[in-house]
Amino acid sequence: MRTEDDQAVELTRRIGAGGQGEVWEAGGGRIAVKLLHSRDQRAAERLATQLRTLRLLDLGDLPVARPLALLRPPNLGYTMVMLADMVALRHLFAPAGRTALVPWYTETGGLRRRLRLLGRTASALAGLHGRGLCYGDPSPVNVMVSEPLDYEQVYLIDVDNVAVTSEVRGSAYATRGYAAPEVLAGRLGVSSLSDAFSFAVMAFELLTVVHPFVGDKVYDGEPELEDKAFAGDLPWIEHSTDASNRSRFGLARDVVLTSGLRTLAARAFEAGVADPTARPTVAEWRTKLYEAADLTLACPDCHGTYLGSRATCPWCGVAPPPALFAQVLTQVGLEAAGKPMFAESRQALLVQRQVVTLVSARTAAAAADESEQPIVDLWYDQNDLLTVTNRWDRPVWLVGVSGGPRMAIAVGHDATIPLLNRRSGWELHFGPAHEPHRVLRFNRLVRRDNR
Amino acid sequence: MDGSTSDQAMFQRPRPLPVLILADVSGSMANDGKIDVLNRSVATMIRTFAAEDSLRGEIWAGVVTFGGSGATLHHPLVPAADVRWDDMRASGRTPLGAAFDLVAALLADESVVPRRAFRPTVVLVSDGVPTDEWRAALSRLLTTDKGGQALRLAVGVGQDMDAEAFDVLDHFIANPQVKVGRAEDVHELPRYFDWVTATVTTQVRSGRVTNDDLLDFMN
Ligand SMILES: [Zn+2]
Repeated sequence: MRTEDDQAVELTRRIGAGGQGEVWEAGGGRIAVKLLHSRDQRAAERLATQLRTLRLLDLGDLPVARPLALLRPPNLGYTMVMLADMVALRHLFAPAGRTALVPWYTETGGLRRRLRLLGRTASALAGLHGRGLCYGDPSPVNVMVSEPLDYEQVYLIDVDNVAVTSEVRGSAYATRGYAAPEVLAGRLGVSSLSDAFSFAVMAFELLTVVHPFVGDKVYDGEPELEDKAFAGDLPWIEHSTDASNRSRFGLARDVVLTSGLRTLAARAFEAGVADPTARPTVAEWRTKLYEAADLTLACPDCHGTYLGSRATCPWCGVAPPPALFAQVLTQVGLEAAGKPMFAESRQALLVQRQVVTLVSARTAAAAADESEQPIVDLWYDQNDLLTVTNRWDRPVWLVGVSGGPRMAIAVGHDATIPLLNRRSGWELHFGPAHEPHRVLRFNRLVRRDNR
Repeated sequence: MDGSTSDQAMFQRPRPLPVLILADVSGSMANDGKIDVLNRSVATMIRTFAAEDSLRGEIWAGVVTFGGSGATLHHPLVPAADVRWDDMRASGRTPLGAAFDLVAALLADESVVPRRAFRPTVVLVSDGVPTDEWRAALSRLLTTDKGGQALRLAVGVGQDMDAEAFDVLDHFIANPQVKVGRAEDVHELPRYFDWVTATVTTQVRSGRVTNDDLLDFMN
């Protein structure tokens, strides 16, 4: 096939397939091709208009596939910029064959990677929403993620559903199982609120491995009942008062979801079903997902990752590894006497022994900057020493709690904190004392005993 | 909670989308290599089904043959990825009525087609007029729940298809919006199966198994 500007396109690998069409890798992985099923004139005109509009939008550095060219008839579709080594998020939703759930969950990156990938997806969607756009059809086949487990890039494809505002009712494409009820019913077009619903379904399902509306009676019932569930006519599986659609499937909800994430899910799937404005925004999801990821530990035994608040590894039962608990604070200013004033937060991160913990700008910079730019590495060794390596472009400061010593760590340098024990705490300051800045306060060990 | 909480954690399986092939293996199918082309076409289709990777739906495939002196379940209805294909062999008569009764029994059996399955697709392939009493059997099939709801497709193969034979296929489809496939030259048969494959995969990807979408697709 060829593009309108007469470039030859050779399809190499099918990346994904949805109700609307197929996405293929082409040109050695640098280009992807969306091929629509429909070939009628109306669809062709709509697509051409859509791509013209998209080229005019400023998408900044959002991880969103930029369209390149329309395909030449008889094919209907377009080429877009693609990143190498990406797979559809769908591959992390369920295995293709029959296999045991927990080992598969761990082998595909476990809880921590899922939380981070979702955090980045939410971040990309929030970026679109911040520009007055909505994505239109978030689904597990439209979100591409790094295939290698040690990479966590996210890339949104299928931009032909991106919309400025919802103009025409019922014209939007809706993926069954992910579309918001009002879009599915054709009552309203797509919006940032419908994106938020689709994202909530994806987040819940990816983490728990069960669809939030497919309870046992839906699973065992006829397809028409599932249609009702997706339309929001049945309670979701964890409804706070109506237990008629519970599910025996998936992972224990409290094992993979923090209470903050469970609260967001309940808002999205109870009040948020009928009232789009009751749904948490994707930015709220982003915050809670990253916060949860920062509190995960990696099991030294089974290599699964889990929330550090658990007494033992939920996947294999082994005791947690030693880790430092670091509270995230914001120093808002100085009192008259020169004493620092802090704004408390419920945010924290765990620094596991002998695992490099990367602190990025979203934690270290108090600003709304959510970027993944590395600021410092933390290394907590077996002698209870904590080494801080400065990867930023400005100094950071180590400060002993309550007027202890203060030392700067210059750009590119590192420093090791001695005597890290229960009596003397340390703080890592990401700014000079006279300016508001973020602070990590290391003040206790996570221990084996149940808290 | 203590210990590992998730030893018994289970996946939800995708919803099955059953596809039954109803294949004429009467002696005449051995002529002009018809049975060989049919074997290749069905095997290719099942391989394509197996490669489909949809979260909400999974294509299952099974084959009922009619020839010899009756109908046989040549391959049980299982997930397409689990099908180990065995070629069909042609011999004997064209007992289509027996095949309709077998299909009706299979579709009605919840251990074969679970209640949660999507509407089945049944594809009839024949090269001539049935040799048994098929009308009563067909009306029995069409009055069963699943038999009546099924998307019924049919294709006539080869030079021996006459008006009467096509009429049988029309009665089976029993839907003015779906046309009988024609593969007078046997080498047109793979194209028909490509179309069936696309129809089924489109259904499973969209999870919309309704006639409206089907008609969209047929345009
Ligand atoms: Zn473990």
